[in-house]
Amino acid sequence: MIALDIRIARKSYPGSDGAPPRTVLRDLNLSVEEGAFVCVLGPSGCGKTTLLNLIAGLDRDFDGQIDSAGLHAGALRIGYVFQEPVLLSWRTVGENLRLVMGPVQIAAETDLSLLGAMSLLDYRDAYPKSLSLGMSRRVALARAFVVEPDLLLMDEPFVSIDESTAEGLRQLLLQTWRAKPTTVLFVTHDSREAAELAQRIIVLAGSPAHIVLDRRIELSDAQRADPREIDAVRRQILPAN
Amino acid sequence: MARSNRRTATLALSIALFIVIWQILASAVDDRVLPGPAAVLRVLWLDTVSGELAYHLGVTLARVAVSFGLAMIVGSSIGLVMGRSARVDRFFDSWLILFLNIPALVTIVLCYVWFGLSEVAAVTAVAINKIPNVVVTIREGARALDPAYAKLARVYRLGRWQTLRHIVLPQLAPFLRPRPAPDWPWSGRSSWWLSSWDAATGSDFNCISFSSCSTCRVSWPIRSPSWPSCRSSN
Repeated sequence: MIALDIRIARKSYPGSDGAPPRTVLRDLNLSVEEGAFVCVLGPSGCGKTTLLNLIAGLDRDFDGQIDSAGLHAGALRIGYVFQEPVLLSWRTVGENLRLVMGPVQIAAETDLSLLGAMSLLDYRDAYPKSLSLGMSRRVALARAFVVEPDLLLMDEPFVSIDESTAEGLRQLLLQTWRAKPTTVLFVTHDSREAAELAQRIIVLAGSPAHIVLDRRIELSDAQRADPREIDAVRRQILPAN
Repeated sequence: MARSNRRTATLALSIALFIVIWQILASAVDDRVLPGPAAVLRVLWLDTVSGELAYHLGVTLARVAVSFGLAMIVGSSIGLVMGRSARVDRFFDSWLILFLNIPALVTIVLCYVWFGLSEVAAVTAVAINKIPNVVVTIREGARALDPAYAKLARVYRLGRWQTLRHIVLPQLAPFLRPRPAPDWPWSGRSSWWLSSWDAATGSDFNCISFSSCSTCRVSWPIRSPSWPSCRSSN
């Protein structure tokens, strides 16, 4: 796992059809400590996905820099859970995982232990099309963890599923993250989800987006399971929106 | 079941009618240049028994395989690049239109002029003819590639080869896959094998002067028993 030092002076997209360039992020500075679980909360379309793409190195066209520290030898391994599961429908669940695994994980058969821990072992030979959306999201989660990531980026990974399935996936995420600790940046527009998961919540707002609130959440597991505690946290962070 | 029976019956009737018309014409003309079905069948049988048919069929199919493979490899590569890069597409689009519109016969004649009546000429002619069609098909496929999978490949650092093999090619599979023509694919064209690749490769590259009598010999079975030049070339 790694620590991140994010300094984005400006991220703009060129305007299409003669429109002026649109600045999405401005003066966004954020340090994330090693092994932290950070939720980035903000309204839809405010630039959260853009931020993850910059951190993942998918988009290098911005002013500023993103440094990572604490990296072991070799390239940074990133686990990324997208808004959609993005499983290869022409490969089985097991093959989807093996495709992204490095030689170390293949030698250690990380996939088997992970699939077991995530109750997916029975689905190893299933094709993604035969899975429900909730189950596909579970597989996408497994794929992100199976690379033993230094950094786990999650882009609203539990949207468009029913609340009880989402709740189950959140618990599974926390459980897996505790077993395989890593630095997590979890993007969501759902303050309840953020309050349930995060050790620290960053609230983005405005256009261009910047950080309007940065709060540590120190709740025990029992408190996180208590809706009143969660609502209290939401009241603390929501007025800033 | 009843439906497929009816289809088979229609097909049988169609073939029967064709043979009847053929026989009538052959009888009416009564000339060596239009042998009847029985005469053709006899040669077909003789060549089958002597093994000549299998030999020539093999040669033809080998040529087809080579030219087809060539067309697929070259055409797919070009199509993939054109589908992925708008700039390359704009640059080569007019070339593509030009090559698409060169009649097959022109390419064949030119290749024979350039390379002589050789294997190279036949294979090259077919390949040149089919490459533009393959380019167009694969270009469509490449345009339809899902950007979400490209992002996946980059984030998880799949190499070029892995990306091609596990991400790109499976998405192109519907465009690459042999698509059997409806009903009876081996009708009209030289064989099922040929015509099933049709959708990907264009059409009718079957008998493209693989039947040039002098050097390549006639390799297609339905040859006239009364064409002395063909026989004599043996």
